[in-house]
Amino acid sequence: MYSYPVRKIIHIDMDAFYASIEQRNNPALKGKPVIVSGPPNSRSVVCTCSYEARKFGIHSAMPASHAYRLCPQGVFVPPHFSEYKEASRQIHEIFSDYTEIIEPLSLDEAYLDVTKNKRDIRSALLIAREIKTRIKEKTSLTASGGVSYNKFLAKIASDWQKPDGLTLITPKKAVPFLEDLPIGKFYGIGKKTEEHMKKIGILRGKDLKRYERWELIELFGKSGSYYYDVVRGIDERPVETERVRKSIGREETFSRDIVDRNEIREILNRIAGELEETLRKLETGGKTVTLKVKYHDFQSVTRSVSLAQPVSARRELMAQAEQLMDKTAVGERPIRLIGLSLTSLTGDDFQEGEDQLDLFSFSRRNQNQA
Amino acid sequence: MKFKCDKNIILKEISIAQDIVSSRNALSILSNVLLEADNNSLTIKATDLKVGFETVIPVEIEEAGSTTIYCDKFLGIIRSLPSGTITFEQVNNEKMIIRTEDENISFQLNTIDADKFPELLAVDDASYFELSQKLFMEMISHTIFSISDDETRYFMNGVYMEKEDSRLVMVGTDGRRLSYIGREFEENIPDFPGIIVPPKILQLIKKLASGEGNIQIAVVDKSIFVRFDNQKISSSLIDGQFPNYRKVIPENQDNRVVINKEDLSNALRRVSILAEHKSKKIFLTVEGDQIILKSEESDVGTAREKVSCTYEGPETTFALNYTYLIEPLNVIDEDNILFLFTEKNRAVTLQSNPEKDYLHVVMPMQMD
Repeated sequence: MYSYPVRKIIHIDMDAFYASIEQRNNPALKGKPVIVSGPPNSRSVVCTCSYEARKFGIHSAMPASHAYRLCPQGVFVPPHFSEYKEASRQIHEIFSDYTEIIEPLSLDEAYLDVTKNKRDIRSALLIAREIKTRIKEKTSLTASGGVSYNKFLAKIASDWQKPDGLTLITPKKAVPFLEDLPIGKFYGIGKKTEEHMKKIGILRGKDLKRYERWELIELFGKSGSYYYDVVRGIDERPVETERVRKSIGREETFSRDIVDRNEIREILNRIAGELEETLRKLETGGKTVTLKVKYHDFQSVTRSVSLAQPVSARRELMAQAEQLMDKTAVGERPIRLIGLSLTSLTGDDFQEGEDQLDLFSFSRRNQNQA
Repeated sequence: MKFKCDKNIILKEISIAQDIVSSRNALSILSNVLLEADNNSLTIKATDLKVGFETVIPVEIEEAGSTTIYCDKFLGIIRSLPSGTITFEQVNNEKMIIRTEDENISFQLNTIDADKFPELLAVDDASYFELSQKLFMEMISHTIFSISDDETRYFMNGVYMEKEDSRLVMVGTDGRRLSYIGREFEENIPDFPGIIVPPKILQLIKKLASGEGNIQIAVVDKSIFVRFDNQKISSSLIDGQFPNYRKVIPENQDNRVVINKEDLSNALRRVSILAEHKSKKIFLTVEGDQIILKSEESDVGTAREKVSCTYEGPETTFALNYTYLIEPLNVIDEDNILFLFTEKNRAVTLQSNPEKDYLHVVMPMQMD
């Protein structure tokens, strides 16, 4: 095994952020099931909901109408993003008292690398505790913290005792902890993968550990390699202060469900045009094209294709999208959302291993010279 | 059909079957495992149409017969039962009852007729040739790690196998490094055209074979068949043009460095701590009787280590992906290795010292 210098990573996750802010700003909402979303009779989805609302089975990304059926007495509040941004700014100010290495994931979540910190506090747990206290003082909101030696574990830790929790996973505890962890709790293992894993008898970390890296790659594609590492507590991803773009995409929710393939095609064509423009500005292209389709019943599928050469032109994107559409029920089932994205981006920041010389092309060059 | 079997014996085989059955569409015949009870043995078959698996285990049969059963749930049930003898009984040709000896626990699973199960590809005995399991498994270990997982280069997603003169040759490459082994066997190997074997069947062989005795192999049309111990596995081959590997195996590399494998391997592991995460680039300099390994300079810091070696040639520095060095070192089975090269931007070769029947070719990276 390799050994890496031990880092100290904190993951801070605000508890029911939007809903808590609404409750703070309007004390009448305290203790009530608050659902931040558009009106329940619209097509909007839930942004966040308070812990009281979660008891009814409501969760984010659920259609507001569905949330209403689960909890008609719920208080539906439209989002006030400027409020959330302000609170987020205050929290980040607190973070930056300790470190500049902050990676925001969204308004309410961030990783901090405090291996070296401005206050020379050796215990990351102590820092996390201070941050939590100061957030509470400054914003009257609670946060959950996770402390560990990499991002993956810190993220799992913060989720461990929500709300208002603080969990430390030491290198010593990590391995038994991960072995015992239900597979669905692994960050990065989604619902589908969880189902797939359970089907083949992977219920906890220890079951996952029985698989070789290649087996996981074969079963789950490239993520397999990630699963192989994280179940062993290995996650070398640095806390990245500037978000490196890994994908470029657009999606669109329709005001009514669409069945007609031509209509979908027109919308995709427009999206592809917008992507082309963005790609040109960023001087990049992508080798993987992904089409996302959400059907009227909220079932959503993605279909992707990996190409040998990066694409960026609208026409090329559309050609791929056409083929991907054939692998979905576009034109057969009513659709509420369509999206197109590009990953495996090329360009300086994006590509891996471009320094690596190629065995075969090199030999061809040699032959030509000879 | 009715038979009895010890839990742990059948569990092992059914869990292998579960790795093979199609997990994509539940409740199709391909998600089922075929059971055939006859002559006090149970034949278990599973397939996803690409890979086929067949094994035989001894069971106590009360009534011969055959059927298919949903492998996923079957496995779940067997796994959940306490250790001991389990009775399996098919009733009315539509259900299987699974119960423990004390009859306290019983499950019923719906079955699908055995005749709906796809015929596993088979070849006649005469098509098989035989090799030592152990030597063949070594060949797999020497090559499989080098294959590509880039689906756009699907023809490198498997290990190439061919017969060259009297040798059996296996080659794995991802286009940047290549592993070759060409092994002479005592047994006579018939001629067959070069094939690309998917890693799954090779890994299954590595996982399931005892390493004792022989393995039988047949290559017919676009499939490979293997038999060993009590198991039979078949797999369709990857249909594609494998790159001309012979052209990239360097000949006559003048510069020879002899290094202790352990020393180099340990040094690489240490220096890799500070190698850049993505590129995995390190610098390797050969200079007189020492090799200097260095990480790239970064904001984090740098690593540097000297390893003694035997070398008489010009000072040369390479940039290399350290995993391309560590992986071959893991499988080289001599204490010393040979590091051969011509110049810094050309492929280097790693092999054992004394030389054996395998070698690993690694293309360097650009220096800066």
